[in-house]
Amino acid sequence: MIRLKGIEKYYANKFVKTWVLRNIDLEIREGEFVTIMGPSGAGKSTLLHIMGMLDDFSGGEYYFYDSPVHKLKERDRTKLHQQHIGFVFQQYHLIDELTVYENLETPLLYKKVKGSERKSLIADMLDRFNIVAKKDLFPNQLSGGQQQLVAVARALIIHPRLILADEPTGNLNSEQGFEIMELLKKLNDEGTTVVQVTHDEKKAEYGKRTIRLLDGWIEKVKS
Amino acid sequence: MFVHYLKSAFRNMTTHKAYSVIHVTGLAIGITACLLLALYVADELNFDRYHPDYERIYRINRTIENDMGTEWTDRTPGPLKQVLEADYPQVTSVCRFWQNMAVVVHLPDNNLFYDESNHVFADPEFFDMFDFRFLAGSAFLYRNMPNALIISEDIARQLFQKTDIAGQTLNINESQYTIAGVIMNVPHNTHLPKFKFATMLEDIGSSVHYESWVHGVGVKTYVRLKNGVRPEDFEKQIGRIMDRYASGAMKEAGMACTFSLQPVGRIHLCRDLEHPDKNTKAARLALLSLIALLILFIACLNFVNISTARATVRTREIGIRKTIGAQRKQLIMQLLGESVAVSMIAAVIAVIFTACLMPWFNAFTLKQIGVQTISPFIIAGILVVVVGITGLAGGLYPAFYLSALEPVSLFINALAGRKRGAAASRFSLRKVLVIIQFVITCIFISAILVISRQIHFMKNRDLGFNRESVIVLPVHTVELCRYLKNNMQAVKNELTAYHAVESVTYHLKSPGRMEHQNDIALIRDGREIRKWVNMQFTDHDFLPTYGIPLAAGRNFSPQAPNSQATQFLLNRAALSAYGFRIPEQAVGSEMSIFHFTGEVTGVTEDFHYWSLKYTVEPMVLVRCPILFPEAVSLKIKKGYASEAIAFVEATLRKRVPSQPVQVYFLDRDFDRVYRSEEKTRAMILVSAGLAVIIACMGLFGLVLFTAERRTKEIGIRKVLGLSVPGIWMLVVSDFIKWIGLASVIALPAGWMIMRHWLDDYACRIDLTVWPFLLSGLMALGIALLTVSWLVIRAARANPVESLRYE
Repeated sequence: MIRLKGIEKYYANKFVKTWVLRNIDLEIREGEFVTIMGPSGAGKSTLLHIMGMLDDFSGGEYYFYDSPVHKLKERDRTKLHQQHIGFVFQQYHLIDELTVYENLETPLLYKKVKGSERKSLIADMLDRFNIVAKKDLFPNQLSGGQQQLVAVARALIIHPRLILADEPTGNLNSEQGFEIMELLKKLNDEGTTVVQVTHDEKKAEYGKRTIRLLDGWIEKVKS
Repeated sequence: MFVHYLKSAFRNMTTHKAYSVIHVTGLAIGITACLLLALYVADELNFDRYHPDYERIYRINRTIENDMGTEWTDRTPGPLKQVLEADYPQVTSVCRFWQNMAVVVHLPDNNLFYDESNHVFADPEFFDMFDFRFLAGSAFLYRNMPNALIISEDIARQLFQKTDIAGQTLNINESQYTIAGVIMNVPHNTHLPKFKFATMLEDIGSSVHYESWVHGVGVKTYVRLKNGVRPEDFEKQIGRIMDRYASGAMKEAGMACTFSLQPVGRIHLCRDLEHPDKNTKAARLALLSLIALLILFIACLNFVNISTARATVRTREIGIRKTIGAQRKQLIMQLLGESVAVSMIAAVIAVIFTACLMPWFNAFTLKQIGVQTISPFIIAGILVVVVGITGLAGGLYPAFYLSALEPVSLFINALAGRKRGAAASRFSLRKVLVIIQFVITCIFISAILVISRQIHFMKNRDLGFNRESVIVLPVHTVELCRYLKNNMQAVKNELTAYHAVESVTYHLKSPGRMEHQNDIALIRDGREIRKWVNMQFTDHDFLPTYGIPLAAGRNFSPQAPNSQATQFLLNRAALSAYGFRIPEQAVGSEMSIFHFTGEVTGVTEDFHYWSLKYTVEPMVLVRCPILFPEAVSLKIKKGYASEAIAFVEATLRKRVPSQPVQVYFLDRDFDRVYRSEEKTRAMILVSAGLAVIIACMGLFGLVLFTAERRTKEIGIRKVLGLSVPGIWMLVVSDFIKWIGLASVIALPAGWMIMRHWLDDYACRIDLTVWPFLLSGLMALGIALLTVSWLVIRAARANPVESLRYE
């Protein structure tokens, strides 16, 4: 599904290049649950963002299915990611001015899904995550766990083939955290590919494969 | 989708209330000012366009050439009408009128009613050609009734308490008239006199000589041409009409006359009859338009400024929208749309503001501007353009800049605002905008300071004559004038006998009122020198009353002017106009005006008779048997003004009971010549006020934004032990730098503008650097006040609160 060949990323600051990622070769197959681990500043989030097409890379090749992402224009990349990728963040990143319902609706609006279909998709999601009663609340009226639940729901509403989760449980207490992890595992069981970034060894164990990063290099691949 | 955008825009506005209020009202104020000034300018441009077929109505102007030079006038001989009607089929209608001084109405209960406004003597066609609305009676009655009179609505209400009074009688200037009609008050937007009484031209009396081709002052003549007649052709045909009808009399008088046409719609704007195509009001209208545009410009800058500031706060939202699949096009649409929507709200509020301010604005400008002044399409057009430009300009930066960034960098920006601080300070569009706003504000403030000083200077400067402790009795009516002429010495004796009156002098108009000019000849070395100069008919008490010193020679002889030969006094300006260098040279020369000849008895020092805007003009004082006094001036002992006034009024009422008597103070009356400067100052004062308000709103918005963005920094510094004043310095020092820069830029620009303005004034203040420094300091002060309370509020917040979010 994802093939990275020699991906590099650096920030050029006057005369000094600050390297973030170096020569990353990585393949992720459909249906996998991959964990990326590593200390702070190792480049985990950057790698995830590059996979999610939220960030540029400085060199190398990236194939998503068979599309060469490094050659695509912004519009086509947006289309790819709009079609296939759902994102979950540590900070939830819900839109504060929109209600739960509207937050779920937004990706569908951008995909130009018709009104009646939108309604049923959102209703399904609200049901599935048990947040029907919360649909008219604003994010700041919810607990952290509930917000992350909504964020996951929003990521899933477009039926993505790939979920990228950047420390999804970082801001949650342990009970809420495991709930979210169970949810990701269930999604993976249903066939969705999941890539997560985490610090937490326990959470890492949900993954079927762990990639360790150190100073931008891939350290070792454990299968 | 649309609903979604609308919701998100609306909630964004309500969550940031302070921003939104500033954002919207700033622009609304700007648009309001612009609309008001646009209405003003449109009104000026639309004078006299409400008459039906105004494009076909022309005033006939006359150019008179004789051996003294060329004179341009709108006065034409009376017989022109009959000739045009008889010989020129291109003409559908001709009307003439003449305006007179005040009117005295003798009421049935023996009371007097006196009105200083114009009384017109007009042909019946006058009421057909121009658009007067009859509330009672008609132009037909006016034409066909003997002794017909038309009065205005307000006079009817004042005298009869109603308007349906056609057929009633009224005694005006001691003749009996029948009311043939009541018209609505003459609107403000016409060059025609704002008359309240109208009677037939034939009632004008013999003094005007309007029946003569060559003699007499003449009347005003207007024609309406047939459809399709080219005015250029018609002008050629009537140009030399007088050669045909009055060649003999013209030869005798040594003159030649040419007629020309001036479209009625251009008369208000083109007052200069020598150049009837030159728009004499253009400069003023251009200045007003410029001010309007500047205010609008500041308001738009402000809008753009706050929009961009707000957008950076919204980077997180934009980043999220990108990660969940928004395409760039969709984001641009959303951000531009929001910005346009906000400016639309501002426009709606501006229209409401404008409507509310209209009565006040009309009172200030002495106009009656209403919905009919500009077509609603033009207003709508202005609004669409303004909304379009500001809305798009305000939305462009966020729409294109932010939507182009990688979503990740947007998060980083939102999460750790300081990280991009270096880049943010390099991006200085906002700074530039604030600086421009303050440059304009500083220029406005310094303009007010300079104009105020110039007005103060002119009002208090020595005019070369004494104007305190002089009171003036204007002579409005023919009857009073006749009485005074016949009893000059007796009235003078009675008045000067009173202890509070020091001297009394008869003359034409008092200083600061319209001057009389005439052609006066001086014989020097057997040669006649003719000059067109200001003149004043008066007596030997003029110099003592006005305290004008003599430079050479002596005053007029003290006998009453009726009894003695003509005498002349020149001021120094007139002296050099006639080619003398030393005052003594002129004394004893022979001068003549009309057919009166006499000697120059002396030369006075220069004195101003009019605004200090102009240099001292040549003035000849004439003591002459034909002095028909237009005013009486009295010098009053200090501290006895009210007694003297009471005495003068009582004395004259006793002597001439049928005539109105009301005196005024010369110094206060003279200040009227600075009315146009006062108006300019008021206009700029209001504009400057608006500019300051808008600029401060902008600043407020920016500081609100900066303080919010720097909350974390402030929190950290506080934890490290920085005091509240220290934090204040930290944030405010930036703004001080900006405004300092703005006043440095404003100084030369303001200097040039005010230099240019002052150049029009013969007597002017020296331009110093102080008003400009002061304007900078004032701008700084106002800005600091705005900034400080916000910063202090941020500085006093609990650092734990501000740091917790990260």
